[in-house]
Amino acid sequence: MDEHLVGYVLNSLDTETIRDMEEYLRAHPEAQQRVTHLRRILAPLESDRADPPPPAGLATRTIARLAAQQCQDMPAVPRIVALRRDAPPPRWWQRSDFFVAASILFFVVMLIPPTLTRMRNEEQKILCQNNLFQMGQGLLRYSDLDSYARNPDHVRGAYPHMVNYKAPYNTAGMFVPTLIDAGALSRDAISVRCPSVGPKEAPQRTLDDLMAIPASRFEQEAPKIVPSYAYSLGHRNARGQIVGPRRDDSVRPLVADLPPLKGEAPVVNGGNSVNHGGNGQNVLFTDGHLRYVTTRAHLGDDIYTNDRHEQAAGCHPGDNVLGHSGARSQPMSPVQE
Amino acid sequence: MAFQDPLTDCTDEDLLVRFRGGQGDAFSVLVRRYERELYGYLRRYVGDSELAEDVFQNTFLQLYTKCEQYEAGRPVRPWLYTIATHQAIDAMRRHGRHQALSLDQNQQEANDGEIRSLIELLETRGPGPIDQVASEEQRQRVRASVDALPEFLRQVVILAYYQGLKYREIAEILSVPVGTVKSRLHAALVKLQEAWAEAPSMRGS
Repeated sequence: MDEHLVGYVLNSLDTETIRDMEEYLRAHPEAQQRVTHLRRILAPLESDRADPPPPAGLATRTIARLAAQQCQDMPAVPRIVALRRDAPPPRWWQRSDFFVAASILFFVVMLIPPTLTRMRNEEQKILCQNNLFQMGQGLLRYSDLDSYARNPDHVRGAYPHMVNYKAPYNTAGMFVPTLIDAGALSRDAISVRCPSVGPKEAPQRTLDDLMAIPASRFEQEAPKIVPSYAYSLGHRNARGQIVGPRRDDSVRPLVADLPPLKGEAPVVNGGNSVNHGGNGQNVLFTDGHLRYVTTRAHLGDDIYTNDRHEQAAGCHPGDNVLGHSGARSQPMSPVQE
Repeated sequence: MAFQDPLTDCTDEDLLVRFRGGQGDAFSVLVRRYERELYGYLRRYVGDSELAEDVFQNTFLQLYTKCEQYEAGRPVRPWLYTIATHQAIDAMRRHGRHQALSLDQNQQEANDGEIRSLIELLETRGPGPIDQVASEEQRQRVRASVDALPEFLRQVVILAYYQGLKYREIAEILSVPVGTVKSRLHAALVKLQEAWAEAPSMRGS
């Protein structure tokens, strides 16, 4: 049992051996004295027990790096090899040969277009994820800022939130020009248009440009700031105040493909984003990770409307809402399907 | 009412199984769960905060890459520490921080028969003058004395004392028998006691 004394003092023994040791110590008081003595010998180690805290955002950066790795791990879209043109001329065919050739042709014609479509959709989905990943990097860099001149209330760890802007400029899409203005994102790094919808479109206007638009015209311009994506509208806390998304929140959706809309309002109980054929949407979460999801529910919560089926701030911390570029945290009229 | 992520109640093993099943959130929970503990271990092991952060990220990258190899039910914590320790050793080698292995490591590895004599050695020396030093100075001296140990002894002290791992977990992490872990730990403690007893500023205190 003596060989177990140090392990017992360090609590490094397995449960059964600890039990045996305790029984042994109860029967051998001199062994108990040796344990006390060993504890005193080891005591200086305790003075160096405290671990330094991890650097701020370590977990978030790690998760973002894993998300980048996930994007790299996506299989490359295979290329179709061109048919050889030097095939030998056909010999004289019989009726059965024509029948076989026609059947093969039929299946090829039926199969190739959907296969090509699937491959193209996969490629666009991956490009969209890369787009969101770049936005995510910008958001993380913004949240690392200790201060931001445009928003005196900014604190480290907070993501952009439109309530910090005066109406009518307090719309969801302002998050992208905010990131660029804060130096957290390069204008050329992202496209505000999903690759599935159209060619790359860099953000066109700066924050100053947008703030200079007359209020009466801004309503028309707001949806065009980030036409393909939806951003967090925040949620109400226990005191009813609207709070914006934060990096160290429990994991919640932050940016996603645009929801199906009717006019300017989301379709209540509507389907997935139209960006990827209604099959699903890419979602960037507050901890930096990215996922393509085939349902608009995250842990049972519709990510595009709040509990009152409005495109507005969530009714409570568990109620996540992502709004289109022209959306605001205050309620909008829902459109029933 | 605060929003609670149900994944935070899952065990490490359950999180990995869920992640393998396509639930990406699960891996993030694991990273956050070990942020403080694993960074603390790596910071202590490699001795540099930037290097520790690199190794922390590489550890989870490796875990992510090897996730398909995970056998359901296998304890995750020792596996994570195994990956982290290997990554730390590699990183220290690349940065020229790796201690040369002691040439007499084999001779310093006591067998089970010598463990009793090591314990007696510990006991006869008793607590040293380091106990009497003010706490920050004591902390630095203790840290320096642990850092000065040969790496194969330093590893077991950190894993057993500071990370609270069991003998058999440490054995798995370092790929050595449990008996070797015990004898290394005992040898490490003897060396530490020697170092503390000889601390020059302690003389005459």
